[in-house]
Amino acid sequence: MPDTPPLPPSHPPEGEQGLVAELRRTLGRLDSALGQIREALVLVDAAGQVIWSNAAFDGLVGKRRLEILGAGLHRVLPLNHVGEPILTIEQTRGANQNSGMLNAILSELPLQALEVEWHPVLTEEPNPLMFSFRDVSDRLALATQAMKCSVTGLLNRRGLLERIQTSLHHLRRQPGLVTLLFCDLNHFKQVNDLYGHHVGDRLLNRGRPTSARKHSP
Amino acid sequence: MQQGDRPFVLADSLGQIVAINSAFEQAYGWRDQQLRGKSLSVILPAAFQMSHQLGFSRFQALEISTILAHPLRLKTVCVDGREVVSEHFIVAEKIGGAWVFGATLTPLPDQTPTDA
Repeated sequence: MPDTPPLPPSHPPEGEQGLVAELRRTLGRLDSALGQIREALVLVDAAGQVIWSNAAFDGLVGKRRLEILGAGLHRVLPLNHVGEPILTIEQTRGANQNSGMLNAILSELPLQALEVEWHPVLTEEPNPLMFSFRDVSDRLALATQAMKCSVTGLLNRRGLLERIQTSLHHLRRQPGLVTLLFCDLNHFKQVNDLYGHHVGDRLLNRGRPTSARKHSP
Repeated sequence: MQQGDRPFVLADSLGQIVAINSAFEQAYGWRDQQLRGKSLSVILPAAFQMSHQLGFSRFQALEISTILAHPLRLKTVCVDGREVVSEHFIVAEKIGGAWVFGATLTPLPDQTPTDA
């Protein structure tokens, strides 16, 4: 078997300049690869200013890269469905050595939800933070569906408990009113027994609150 | 360009400054010997430096750019640390197999908004 000559390096070393050129090409490939993925990524410095983002992040916030660089991350991000920032200023500042995760709902109809995750990048002091934003609208839509009554589209017990918990949490952050409407249909069992469940289901749909009918899918 | 009255900076394929003209020295206060051999990122605000280096690297890998040959309003860092909004017009040319980058910079009035 003849000796196979070693393959020449793709970019022959040319001293320090050659090394820098090769490192640049490597970084360029990495940056280009990060630009292709669907997950939105952004890196912020200790002051919470954007110092790098990928194309998916630029698309998420609807701005050009040059508009984003140097801006505070909390100002660049879209607001959630009740008009509040997704992240607080403190959460977006580097120097925070804690990782974190939260879900944010940008709109309810149609449902648009993000899973936000962040990690410290321990390359320097104070450290930058890397944030990722994943579209979890489909996943959350399925979970939301599991919290609804299949007949009326109103919240079931699980959904009601979740909604009360969310409303009370919101109330603690922003004082206001939470209204709970309680309806009781007397002798409803007799309707089912006399006319069948299909009639009972129609009655339930007629009896549900108008606003819920309007907002239910 | 180097003899012209518009600030001009020339950089090699690695993004190191090769020359600036006297209009650049007057506009931003840097002397040629202070910048020669330094990275172009020296004259960019800190928040832009990482993206600049990665964008430059991406160009080395792909030879595709979205910022060449059209005006960009960006901040330029002066020798005293002041940041002046300037219109950058960057061009690239391959000479003898290596890229060379040239940019004209026009300082704009103080209140001019940037593209950034």
